[in-house]
Amino acid sequence: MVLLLVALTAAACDPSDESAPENRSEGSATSPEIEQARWKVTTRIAPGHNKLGKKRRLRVRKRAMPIGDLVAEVYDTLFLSPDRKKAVVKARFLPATARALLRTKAGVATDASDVKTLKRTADIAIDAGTTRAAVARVTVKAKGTRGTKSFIVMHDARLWLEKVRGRWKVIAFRVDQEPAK
Amino acid sequence: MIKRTVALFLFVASVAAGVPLIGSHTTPASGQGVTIGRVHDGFQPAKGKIFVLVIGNDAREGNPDRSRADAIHIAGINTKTMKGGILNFPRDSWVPIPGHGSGKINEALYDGGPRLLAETLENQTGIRLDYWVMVGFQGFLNVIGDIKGVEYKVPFPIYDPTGSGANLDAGVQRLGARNSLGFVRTRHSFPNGDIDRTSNQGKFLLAMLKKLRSSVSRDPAELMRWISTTRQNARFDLSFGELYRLALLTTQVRPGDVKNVTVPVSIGSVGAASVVFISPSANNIYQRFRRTGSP
Repeated sequence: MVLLLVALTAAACDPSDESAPENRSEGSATSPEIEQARWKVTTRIAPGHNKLGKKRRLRVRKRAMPIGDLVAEVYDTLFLSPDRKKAVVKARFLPATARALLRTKAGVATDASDVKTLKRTADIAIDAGTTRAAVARVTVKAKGTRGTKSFIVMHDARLWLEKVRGRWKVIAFRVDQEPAK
Repeated sequence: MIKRTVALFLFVASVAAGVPLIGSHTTPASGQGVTIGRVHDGFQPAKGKIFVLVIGNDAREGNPDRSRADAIHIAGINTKTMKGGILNFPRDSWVPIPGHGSGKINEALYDGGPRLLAETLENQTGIRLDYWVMVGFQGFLNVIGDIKGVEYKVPFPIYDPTGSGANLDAGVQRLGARNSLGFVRTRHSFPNGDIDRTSNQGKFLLAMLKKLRSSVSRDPAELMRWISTTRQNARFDLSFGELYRLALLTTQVRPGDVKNVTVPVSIGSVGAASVVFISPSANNIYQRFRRTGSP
């Protein structure tokens, strides 16, 4: 987690806005030997506030950094540690939204193994007017094994977030997931 | 490749169950900009359906705060089925106005602002309204300008220099702010005058919904632009969170799932005033709208 925060802080100062958080490999669906794809997290100001000064833009984008943290935690859980899914989703989503996500089959099954993420990206846009609303577009491609069968999953999601009592929470989501194989 | 949509879910429960109210309702009764408010103090919307009164007023220089309603619509969304409807009322509809006898429905706005107009419509339809949105000429111009126009299929050439000022060719085109205002205001160009105009206004609202969805589909962050436009041009007594969730909810409704219905009317007169009488068959539409969120 520390590595992740450092990477995101560096990203805020980097014009390319790209970061490469840690590779997470602990969890029941994978093993530490499997190298995971690097997270590519971009943060930007959402459309509607184009006339911001450089300092203000940086300040606003810094406010979006915890969202990168949230996204990485949620997705690392969904794909690499699905047995922890319930606790993490409940902590990061509003209650009704968490219940809805837990009813879906987003991520991998708890009995999946040898999961390797091939691609992990998050494009985060924050509303500069309030810095209380944001949207994240998340893409994950992963492969793994379930029983004797191997699988590849393509996952594309939009998470709408709002700052609720000082903490970012996912208030709505749209998830498209397709088995590529 | 078979695509499997795992889920589409919106946290509409919070909207349906209501979010914390803020204390004051100081929004002016009318004006040339955009104003948004709750119809009832302390009222929480019924779970599953949201109804919004959409008003276009004729406020202009000289009478910015006392205006009549030129456009009157109830927009509804069923948050479970994500289907909805727009119910259009001709402005000359002759209806009982609480505390003011009977009159043209557009006078309710002049007599008591959006809340009296909402109360009038609630009595007429039996639909419990949750919010009202009122747009004046300038507010309309600002909003359409900010979203860079709306694509619309104009059914035939429209030339109305003395009325709305509309001067449009037929066909699909991007209507900018002035042309959009001209189109939604014109009634002389249509055979059924104000009845056609109110129906056109409903269609224009659907064109705006289509534009919202296409821009958010391209980039989900575009929703923030729409919210920002609303915040810059509107005076409202909703919390930011409430506005955000309503906007999110709106993006999930497909224009094809929204019916555009004008109440059935017959033309008549009361004294020297020419009015329209809402047909008793409208009761079936109200009932359906109340029950399903779609008229």
